[in-house]
Amino acid sequence: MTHIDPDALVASLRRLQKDRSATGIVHHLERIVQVVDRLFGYSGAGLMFAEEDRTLRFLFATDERGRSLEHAQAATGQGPCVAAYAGDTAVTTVDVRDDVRWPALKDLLHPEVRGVAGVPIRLGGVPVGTLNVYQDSPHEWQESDTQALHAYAHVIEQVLVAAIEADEKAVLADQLQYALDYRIVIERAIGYLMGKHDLTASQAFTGLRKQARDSRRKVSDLAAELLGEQGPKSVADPDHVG
Amino acid sequence: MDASSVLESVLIGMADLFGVDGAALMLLDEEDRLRAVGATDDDGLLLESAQESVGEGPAIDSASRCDLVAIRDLHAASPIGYPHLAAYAAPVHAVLSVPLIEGAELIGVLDFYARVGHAWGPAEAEAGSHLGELLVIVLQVLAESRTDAPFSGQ
Repeated sequence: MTHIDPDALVASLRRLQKDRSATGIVHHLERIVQVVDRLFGYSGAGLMFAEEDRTLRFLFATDERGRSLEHAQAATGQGPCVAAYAGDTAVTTVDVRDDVRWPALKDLLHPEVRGVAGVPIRLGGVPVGTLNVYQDSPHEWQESDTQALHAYAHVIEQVLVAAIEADEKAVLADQLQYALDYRIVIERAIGYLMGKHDLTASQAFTGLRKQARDSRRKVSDLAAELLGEQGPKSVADPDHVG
Repeated sequence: MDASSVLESVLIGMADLFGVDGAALMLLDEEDRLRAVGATDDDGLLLESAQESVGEGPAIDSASRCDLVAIRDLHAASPIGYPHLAAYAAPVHAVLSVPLIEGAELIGVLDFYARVGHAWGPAEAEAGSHLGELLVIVLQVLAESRTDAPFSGQ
């Protein structure tokens, strides 16, 4: 038995929809990850999604440290989030830098990425990505932590389901692919800023995010502009869902 | 899965995350009236429909103040409780009402509730606010996902 009044819901959604432009699923997912960070008080959080060949790719992270975690796993094909995706289960580590399961990660990680937990995000019961959180010091994860993360991942799954219902799977996939592709542009912009201003990766990423936020633009757009190039055009623009 | 099913599933997930007995939602409609939209169970529906019909309650106060309203026990005497409302929603005792803000605009109120009296602490109030933020995002996705009306700006 449902406990939702569809008529009341539609009336309210119609009001919410009025005079607002669609912002796209990727933008919403990014905001959702920012909320998980604040909700649980973790040092950072991020999302990875799988491509067609089941390779996990970095989608976004709440800060540069989290970006290093996702980048390191994407580069080496190993890590707690890769394991969470492959095993379709929660995977945690007290200290990812000392974990013998993933020895290749240490050299690629920001030194303040220590305790890590990853849970799968599923669609139709099949894992399609992972929600990842980290702490900046070694952390003993409790079962209540992973239960809460599973519950949060479930909310993300519902958001994906809602988006798929309306946008068709292909468009959603295009939006996620677009976001994945744009990571490359952001990486290159960070490298450019590091070289030009003698910054660390952390300083460059933080500065890029701040400038984007201050100018109410997406990091990816600003990164493309810095590099004097346009973003990928072959896929749908997530700001203009068709 | 339709919007109602998604929303119900999200509310259940939020109640689980928050560790409370249930969650219920009131949203402003096109005439700016706060309407009961749904809940995780019958007690939550009672709480919301009672507020809509009697015109008082923590969600209504939360909407008018645009602020959190934390009630230890609805059954307590006024002004600490809402005894008139409690008569219509007897199983519900503690309520935390969280205003839902999109941009700078109120769009509704999310109620978390417990069947026993409970003093909501600052950490719970903060968590409730964050879950409110999360629900606003979910509602935006649902609004954008509606296929019976075109998006503006296209």
